[in-house]
Amino acid sequence: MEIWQEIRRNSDRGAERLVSEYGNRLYAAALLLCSNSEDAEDLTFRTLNQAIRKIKTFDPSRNFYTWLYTILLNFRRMDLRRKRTSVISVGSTADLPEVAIECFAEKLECSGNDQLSEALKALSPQLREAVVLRYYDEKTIDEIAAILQVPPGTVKSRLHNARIALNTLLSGKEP
Amino acid sequence: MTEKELDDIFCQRLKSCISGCKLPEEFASKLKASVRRSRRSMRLCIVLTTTFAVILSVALTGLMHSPSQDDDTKCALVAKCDKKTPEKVSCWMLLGFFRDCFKRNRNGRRKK
Repeated sequence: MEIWQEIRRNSDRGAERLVSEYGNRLYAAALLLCSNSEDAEDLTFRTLNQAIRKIKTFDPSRNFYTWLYTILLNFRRMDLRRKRTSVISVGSTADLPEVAIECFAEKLECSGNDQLSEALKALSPQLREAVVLRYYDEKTIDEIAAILQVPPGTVKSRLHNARIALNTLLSGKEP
Repeated sequence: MTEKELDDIFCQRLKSCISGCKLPEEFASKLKASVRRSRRSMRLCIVLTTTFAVILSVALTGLMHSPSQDDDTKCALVAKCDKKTPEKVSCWMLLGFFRDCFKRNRNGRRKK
């Protein structure tokens, strides 16, 4: 039985299955987006709760995880709007140097986990969303475009900008 | 190095960044409790709304179909008040009665 069918039939058993199958994966994505374990846990909780409540609106032709992820992103955006957090935005990368692949790969490999987390935190929410979807969830450009509801070209440009910004941040320079 | 190799390294690094991060054990039970609570409050809301709608519809039906006194009844009522010729009650009459209630004597006392 599909998970959405189980939730519709029995919400208790469905909730348990939802947590065991998707809980940790969503939590990890939330951690990368929020960079704070309390916020990430709260975000995951609200996402799963909303998914159970709105399971009747789920279209079975869609991917279930993508649907969950869309709910998570919507909650995250709502939080950001409410808090109006000041992110050290590196959205504009016009004056940053182009990244040589080898150079960036080397920096990625040499950087510590904390350093990479800090660099991710410094990215603007839009760039961070694209990076998490591409490199954590390993979604294709088209899938990311569908989730974020932007054209594939925008996704590519966000990923490119994120790479440039991360390269600069991992070098220890201010973007 | 190709783009694909770089992507693989990036994926690996990002995953290692959050490896070992797991939800707390009681997360599932908390979620179940929250779902049950919201179901209960939704049911309560439905019951209250239905009750309110029923009460409102009963009250409206009662108001719309209440027996009204027709003109003959009104005339009979007026006739009962020792009047020889029954006359219809008009707004002006009612206003006159109302005015009488506050009429005063020359001494400034209220008329009995």
